[in-house]
Amino acid sequence: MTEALGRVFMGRCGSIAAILAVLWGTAMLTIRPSTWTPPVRSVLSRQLLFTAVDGVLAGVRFGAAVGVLVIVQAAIWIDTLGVAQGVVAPMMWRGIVRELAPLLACLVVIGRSCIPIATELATMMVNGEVELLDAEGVDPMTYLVVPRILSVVISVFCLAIIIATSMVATGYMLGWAVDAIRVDLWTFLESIFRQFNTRDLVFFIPKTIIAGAFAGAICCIDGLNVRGTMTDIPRVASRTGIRALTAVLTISAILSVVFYGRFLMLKIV
Amino acid sequence: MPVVQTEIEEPVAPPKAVVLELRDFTFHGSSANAVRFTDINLVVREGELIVIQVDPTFKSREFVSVIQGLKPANQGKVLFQDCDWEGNDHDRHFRMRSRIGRVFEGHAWVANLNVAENVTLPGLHHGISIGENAERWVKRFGLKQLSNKRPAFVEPSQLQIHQWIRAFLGKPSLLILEQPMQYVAATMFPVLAEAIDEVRRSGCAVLWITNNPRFPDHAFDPAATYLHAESEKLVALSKGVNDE
Repeated sequence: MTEALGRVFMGRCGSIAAILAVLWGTAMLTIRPSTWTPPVRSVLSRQLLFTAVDGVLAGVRFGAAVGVLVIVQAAIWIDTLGVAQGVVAPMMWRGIVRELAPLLACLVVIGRSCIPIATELATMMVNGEVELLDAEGVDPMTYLVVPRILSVVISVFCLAIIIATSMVATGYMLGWAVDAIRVDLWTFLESIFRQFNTRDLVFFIPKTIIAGAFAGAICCIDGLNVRGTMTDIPRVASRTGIRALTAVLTISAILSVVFYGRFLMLKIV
Repeated sequence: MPVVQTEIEEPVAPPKAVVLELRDFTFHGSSANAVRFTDINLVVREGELIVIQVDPTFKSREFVSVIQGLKPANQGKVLFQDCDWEGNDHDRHFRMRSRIGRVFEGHAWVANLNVAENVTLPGLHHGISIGENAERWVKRFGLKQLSNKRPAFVEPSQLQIHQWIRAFLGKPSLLILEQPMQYVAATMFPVLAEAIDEVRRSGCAVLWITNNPRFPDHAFDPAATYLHAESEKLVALSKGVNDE
């Protein structure tokens, strides 16, 4: 039993070490000018088009739907607790920017792009295309992994902003329609911007970038680790989805604890 | 004044540089039909053409991957331009591979790129100017232009000729041809042979692996060396593969 637990623990440590190694390698290659050859730039632009641009509509739809849920919940709590309506905007803003938008952006990118990336890389591996690139002197890490991880990171960050905007817009429209929000749009936006501080930025940027980087690294590692035949690829795809989601949720939880815990402590002191 | 008579000696040409060397090389491969070698030595110098005939049931892909440092040999050393493939200096290994042109046996294309992108990818990645050079090889091998279709939609003979172009395009120091005439009409043999002779004259070493027991009788200039892979050794053939 102890031995089995130890094996699982060491396996997890190995996985995390592999992810960190890939992310470190990606960071080093990204800042090296010689990495950015025309084919690598082309892969990055194609991947950004697929992951970020094509994902905008899905992000807006998700944001709008969750914006409705948030405003409905806000209205219920206003009635239940009898708090002033001015509380709605800051509550929405904090909930959206700090937690919901980054998480939703990760879900969109994992569903739309990470699983296809893992499938594509696994197919290339099984077909011998990765060996082909290697034989041509084209580093698969530079050509396949770096642009994909970067595109996932950039996409999660950009989509999180778009989703946050979509949620706020939907929330305001619905809140105004059901009389939960009685101020005009500019006053509403002004109250939101007043809530914006560097702490939000400090929280939003690492949350989107770290979560996106882990999701991108996991899908690349899983795709390139496939050993076997085409029939192994669906298993890789489903495992990647679960692993990436687990990583994103865990990172979100850890970052929330780290940030809120520290601020709370400072407040107490 | 005394007249001193000196004898003028014919200058001896220095031996050409070694491009590829297999030293005490043993490789057994991971698949049952991989071509195998035990304790062989092979030296390929600049401008040389070595034709290795393997039995039709054997596949050479793994062996060539060992030559390119993609897989380890069971024993011995593989040296390309006096450098081995050992260690973790991956940048050096990729630079070395960029000087090797290869026609692959089996799958040789990135499926989500079109054929033209596949052909130009290594050159563009390594910063080699390919524009005019590509045009020259396209004309030479009888194509109108590089295909803009995905590899799955191009017929095998055309794909094989595109493989030739890709291999020649990067001005390689070593050209490894695995079954280059596979899928291609025999009438294209002289065209390929002339192209090989041309790159050999500029110093490129060529390793041609064939499983065709009736290898066409062609007077390569300079002359080729013919070897046969049998009993996990390389045996010299005196007059050519087809004279066996």
